[in-house]
Amino acid sequence: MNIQNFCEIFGEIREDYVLEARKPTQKAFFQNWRIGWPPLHASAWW
Amino acid sequence: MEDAEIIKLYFQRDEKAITATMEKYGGYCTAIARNILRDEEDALECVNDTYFKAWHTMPPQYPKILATFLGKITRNLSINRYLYNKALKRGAGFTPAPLDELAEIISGDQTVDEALDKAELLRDFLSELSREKRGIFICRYWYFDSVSEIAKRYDRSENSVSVILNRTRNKLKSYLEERGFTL
Repeated sequence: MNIQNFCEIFGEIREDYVLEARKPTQKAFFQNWRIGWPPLHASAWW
Repeated sequence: MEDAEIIKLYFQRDEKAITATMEKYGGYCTAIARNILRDEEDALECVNDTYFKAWHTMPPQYPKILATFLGKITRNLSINRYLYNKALKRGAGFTPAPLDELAEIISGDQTVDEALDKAELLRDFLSELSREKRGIFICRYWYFDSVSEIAKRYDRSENSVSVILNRTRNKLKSYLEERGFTL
């Protein structure tokens, strides 16, 4: 397998995992709350 | 605008679909393209190509999750652009760090059947990771985020993120080897 094959296969992983990765974890969410990050609106997670 | 409304515009062949996509997901797609290409002009071109491809894919496709549907298109276009540039020696010397890291565990040839089996195993492997470790791994190798961005997102030190990535890469390698595959 080369890098391109791996990237292609990795690109097909479960979409809910891909979305979940960018959502703040509860710990990070509250830890960063006081400095105004992450933004409250979900569409601004990325 | 809700995703279902945006998708509906695509299905109605209404060009407002593109504007709505740009407004809601332009930043998301641009971030992915920038992470991979590190070139503003190439990144913007890939994002524009994403809208073009989305327009020609919907219909018939109806994405379950619009964000990742678009992100996947941008990611594929950007990786292909990167490899094309590399072949032409444009942007010589630059290799995205995540690709360098993957090169350490990837080797050898495979058949199509083996690739499909690996895709299945990769899905299983990810489902066995904790949410945090999986998220960190995906941020690095799906989104190509920098270690510092991931550290901020997951409220961890950069060193801790690097250790998790290293361990997870090795774990993936062992996971596949135990099942008779190499990466």
